[in-house]
Amino acid sequence: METIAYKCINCSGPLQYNAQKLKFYCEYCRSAFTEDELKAHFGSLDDQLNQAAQNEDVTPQDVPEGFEDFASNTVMYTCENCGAEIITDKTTAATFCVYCHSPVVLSNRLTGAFKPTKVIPFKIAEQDAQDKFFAFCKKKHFLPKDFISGAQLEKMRGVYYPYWMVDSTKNGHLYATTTKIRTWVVGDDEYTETKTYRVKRGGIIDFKGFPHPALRGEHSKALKYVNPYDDNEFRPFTMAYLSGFLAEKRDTERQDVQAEVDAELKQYAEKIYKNTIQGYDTIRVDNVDVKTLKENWQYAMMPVWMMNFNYNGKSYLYAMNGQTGKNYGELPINKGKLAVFGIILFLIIALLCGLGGYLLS
Amino acid sequence: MMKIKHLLIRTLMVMLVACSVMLCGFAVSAAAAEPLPELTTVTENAPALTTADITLSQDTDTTVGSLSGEDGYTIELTDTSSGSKKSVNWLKIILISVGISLVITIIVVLVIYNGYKSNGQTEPYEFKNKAPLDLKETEDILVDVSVTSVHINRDNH
Repeated sequence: METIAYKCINCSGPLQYNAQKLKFYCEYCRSAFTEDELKAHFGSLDDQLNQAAQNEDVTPQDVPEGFEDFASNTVMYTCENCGAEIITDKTTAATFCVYCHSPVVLSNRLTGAFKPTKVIPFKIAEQDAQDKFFAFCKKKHFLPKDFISGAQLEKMRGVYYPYWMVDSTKNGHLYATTTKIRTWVVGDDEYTETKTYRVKRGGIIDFKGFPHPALRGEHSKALKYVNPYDDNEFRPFTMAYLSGFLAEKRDTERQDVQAEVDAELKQYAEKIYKNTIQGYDTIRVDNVDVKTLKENWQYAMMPVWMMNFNYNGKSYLYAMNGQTGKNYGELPINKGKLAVFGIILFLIIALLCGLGGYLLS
Repeated sequence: MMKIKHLLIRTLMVMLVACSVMLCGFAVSAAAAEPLPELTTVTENAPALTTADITLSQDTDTTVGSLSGEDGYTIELTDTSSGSKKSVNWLKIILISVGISLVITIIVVLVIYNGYKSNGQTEPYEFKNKAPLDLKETEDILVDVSVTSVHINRDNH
């Protein structure tokens, strides 16, 4: 498979998108270029990629018997910098060469039907992401020993993940039963008046930019909860933004996730209609019906700082929104240390309570 | 300035913990203490007695002395002043202390455990800003009115 490596205009070193400078940065000569400058020099960056993809024969040939699954789920690419042949999985769209660590973009992964419409570039640089993770771990005394180490922080990777962005106009109704309660006292009797209402709300809701992860697997929950992103920072997609980061291609189509998206939008519709019911003491939703009037699906790439680690045979995941810094994940706990702390705390409190009880009795 | 602030915060936390433990101690002592039975005395046809007839008891837990009269009767005397000691049930103190300590420890451990998770509590989709509603139908129909009454018991002592 052919790869694209975006090269520095001055020294031909590999270019990476720098989240702090918001430019394409060369680590060798420290030159920085805007997207327009690169386009002026190289022409349209994606045209090169599309041409490379068209020229390539992607039909697997001479696959040994029994290795058809392996061949269909993996791809071999050649690093433009050092010539090494590397194997990666079918959803990887951009990565680093494991030998020379040059950033590479796999030519046919994000073209044609799989070409995203827009992208939010990374806004949080690697060092800032590590600092935020370090701040998250700070004062957590029950982390495993040596957890916050240089080797651990190196596992943090900037990844562009695929999302479906849905614009949906829905018409619906909400039916609810509500009550108003009033109490008063006359003499020795307390009276309670309960008024029951049947309530209906209906209208058109215009959902804009509803995100849904377009990648299945263990990361899908993290990808959902690192949202929201600021939609104002979307830019037209170009491959150059992926340089210096990892990227994943989607593995779900619209029809695969349509039901999930409809269910989530229905839940939001219920919240929106319910917010319009005011002035009651209790509200019980009886029914919600929602119909889609029109819908538009776009495919976008969003930045996430991701870290996986294993501890005591369990896999942990930490994800950070690459634009806003919102994080999602779980840290491992040294359960032995926590148990010892619990026992000591228990004994101290029991002793103090007993002593206090005796002295005050 | 920051050091003073930290020192004040730590002092307040220590005082808070001490007050909590004191309150627990009160709860423990109140629950564990047993009041003694009320004193009963026989006054009918009681002869006149002098202080020479008073013998102080060695057992100060329950009595402070006894009066022996000519007819061989004995009147047990008990100190009924407000500073009298109450008997302490050690088993109750231990059980209540262990119970309180267990509850506090479990709460602290659970709080620590949850602090190691960041589950993205904020809404992943800002529907209030991104999903405007054009409300077209509103209907609020009163379907039922009910009134119930409860008699309030007022005990007059």
